[in-house]
Amino acid sequence: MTAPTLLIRDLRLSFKGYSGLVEVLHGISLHIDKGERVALVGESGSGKSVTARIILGLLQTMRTARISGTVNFEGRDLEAMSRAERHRLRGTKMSMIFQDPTSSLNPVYRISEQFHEVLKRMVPGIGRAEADRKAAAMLADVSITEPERVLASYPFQLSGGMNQRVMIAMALANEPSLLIADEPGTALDVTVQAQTLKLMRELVTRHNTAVLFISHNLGVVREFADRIYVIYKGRIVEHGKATQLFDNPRHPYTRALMNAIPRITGEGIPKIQDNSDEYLAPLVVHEGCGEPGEVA
Amino acid sequence: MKRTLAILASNPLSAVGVLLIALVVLSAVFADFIAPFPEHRGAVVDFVNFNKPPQWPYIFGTDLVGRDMFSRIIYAYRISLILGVVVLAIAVPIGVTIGLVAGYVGGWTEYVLMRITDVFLSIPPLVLAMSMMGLLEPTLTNGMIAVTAMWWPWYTRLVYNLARSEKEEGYVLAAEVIGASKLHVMFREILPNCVPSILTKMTLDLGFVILIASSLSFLGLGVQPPTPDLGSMVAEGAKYLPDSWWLTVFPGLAILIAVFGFNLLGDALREILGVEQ
Amino acid sequence: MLIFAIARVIPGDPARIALGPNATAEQVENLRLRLHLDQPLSVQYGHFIADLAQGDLGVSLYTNRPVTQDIAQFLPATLELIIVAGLMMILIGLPLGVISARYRGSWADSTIRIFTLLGVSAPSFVWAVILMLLFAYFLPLFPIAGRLADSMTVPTVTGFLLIDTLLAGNIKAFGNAAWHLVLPAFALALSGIGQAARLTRSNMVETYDKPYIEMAESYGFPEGRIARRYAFRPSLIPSLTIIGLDFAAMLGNAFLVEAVFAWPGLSRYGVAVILRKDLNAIVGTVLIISALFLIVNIVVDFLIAMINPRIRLSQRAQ
Repeated sequence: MTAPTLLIRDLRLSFKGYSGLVEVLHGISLHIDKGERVALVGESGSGKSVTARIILGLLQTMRTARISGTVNFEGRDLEAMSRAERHRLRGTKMSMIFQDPTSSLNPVYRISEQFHEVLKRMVPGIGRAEADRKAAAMLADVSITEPERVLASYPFQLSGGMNQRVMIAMALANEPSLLIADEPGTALDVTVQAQTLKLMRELVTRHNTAVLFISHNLGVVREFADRIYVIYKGRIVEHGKATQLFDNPRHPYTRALMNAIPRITGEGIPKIQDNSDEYLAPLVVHEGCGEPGEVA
Repeated sequence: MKRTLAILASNPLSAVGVLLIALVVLSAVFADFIAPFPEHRGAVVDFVNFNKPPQWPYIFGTDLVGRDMFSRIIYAYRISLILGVVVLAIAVPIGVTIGLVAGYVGGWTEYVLMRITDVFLSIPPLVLAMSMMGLLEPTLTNGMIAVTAMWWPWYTRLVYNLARSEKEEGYVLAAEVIGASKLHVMFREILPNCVPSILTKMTLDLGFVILIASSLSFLGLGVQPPTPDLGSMVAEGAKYLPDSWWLTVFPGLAILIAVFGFNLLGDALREILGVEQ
Repeated sequence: MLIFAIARVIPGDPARIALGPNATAEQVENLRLRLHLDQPLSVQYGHFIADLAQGDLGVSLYTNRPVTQDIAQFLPATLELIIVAGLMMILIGLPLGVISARYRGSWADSTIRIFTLLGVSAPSFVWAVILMLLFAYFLPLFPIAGRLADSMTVPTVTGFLLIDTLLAGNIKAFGNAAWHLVLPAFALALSGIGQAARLTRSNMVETYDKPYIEMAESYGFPEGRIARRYAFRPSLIPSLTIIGLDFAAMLGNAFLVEAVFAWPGLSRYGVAVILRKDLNAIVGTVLIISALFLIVNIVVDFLIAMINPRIRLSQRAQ
């Protein structure tokens, strides 16, 4: 069996603040196999986004952050790598998609220049014309009908949905083995978000890209993910295949999250408790979903 | 409050700022008790002790007619601070009101008010104050008038921009919907939200008013002798460089310390109140 | 118009002030006629505008020459000083701000922040005096005053010594003129350097929190490239506005520095005429400075439009 694309074991993170150390992640473990789509679901402040940033190595530069635990990428320990080695993975073997596509693109450069920048990560000497040709092909892949016009535009001239497609195209341009999507398209209209997510799913399936999908919305995740981790206050509370989890949510917090998905049934907004001691119940692992190397 | 203290503690520079300002303000307020030669603020002559380098009891030396530089600097601080406070006390309400009205009411009112403001902003500030001073008699009162005239437009600009963005905010719309009067919306809803920015700017400006006022008097267009003034002391002393260096260096440093202190304080305030530049 | 208004509402009879207390009533009356001071204000304003349109600013009562001629003589020296100081501001201030922002929290950042804050905390005449004392008297590295050594003469073509010396092919004089420029220009530039650096830093720090920076980091773009293309360039737009204002402020501060370094420029002329209440000359000087101020602002707006695609494209569309 080959090593999983991503393997996180007992990851802890704390920040040094005015009033001492504050632990944000209390030892989380998760893994993603090659080409697998995994979701990490939890409310804001539960520690999902910091996890993504640790994987990319963006948080390590913060002087107030204290990190322990292991993060293995394709069998290699990221913490053991040199800074330069780690840096080389970014944008080539892993890439990331952000919440708000329009503000995540540099406002003072055209799309084509930004695409060129991304492609240079893989082929440092790539020329502008060659990059434009590749970019146009990538944009066509995300169902953009006039790639040339989009390439010649600035981000503020494009719609949010269009920018989202551009971001997806950029993220997959270098054929990474891991794509991290942090609340993709939350800033967009629901219909546009649904369209772009569908597109993204088709593309990652075709390219066999592993995805870590971070979201607060179980409803969005249902369509997308093979497996789901539910995170609450820096701890994984439930873990299972998407079908298992949706058919039979076992952890009280998961059930509460499940209730929070709005439905068109005329029942109004469901009542859920903001906080409950029950939510602190221990981790529930569904059948066949143990972490590699652990007894399930 | 806890956060305020934490920010002050984590940034020793802010503490230095507080200290410097406390020093300047206290010495100005209690000048009569601190200055070793209080009578030297006026037209006193002591030819026995003229032009002495720093030595006891003249720690900053004496000027060309034998007056103690240290005493004169302390009294000059008093004048500078009074000038700064008066200028801001007049310029800020004027500028803020005009900016608030122009930004909130809009239309013709906005056009006329902002064009007038632009006229004032179209002349370099120091040049505007200078030409006004040149045409008026150089007295403390006229100095205040000239500096006030160049200062209010900046507050108009600041508040105008703030008011224009605040008026789109939900809380303003909410007040309008329930039928609040324009005056209420301007002064009760929008103004309180501009206070942090105005306060920060005022702290910084207290330093800059002192700076500009000293520049005017440096050119001979401000407070006239024998009233002690930092700017005219530097100008007077500059004629006797490098030999009588204490005549320029100490008043110059005095300006630097006061303005530096207000700048540090303003920066700290900006951080505490979360104001963007 | 404001200038005109200020100049005319002041108390006192300008003609009498100009001629001094010993002038006869007849002399005063003649001068009043010549300056149209006997007519109503609206007519005076009409004359003023009409003369202005013909490039006539009247005669200086102080030098007894046309004001335009006086300005033409003194302006180049001031412009030379301001332009050099402006270059220093940009070439020193911006890089300091970039370094400070890129290594924020480091000792380099703290040092730069203290120095730049000191820079804005003293009027330029204080810096002028301090620099003069340190680098002209104690360490005699630079000349104390003036624009050129007395032993050298260069034919006046443009009035800009740096250009005139080159036109004359006199490299030695060029070096000497440049050497004379260093201290006054630096004294004038100091507060601008501080202002530019502080603003660039705070804008860049703010930009560093933008999502597109995180995106650039997530793609592993080189750090220097992120600093340059992703943090610096977008934050240059607000910085430029302030740099324009600072540049304009130098027009005023030049008055202070010229006084210290005995620089024969427009500002010294301005102070002289202000002290003598020489109306035409004051109006002319303020007018030319305001015009320069306006030009600087137009240039800045143009530059901003150039680097901000949003403005550039909306203008092209019109």
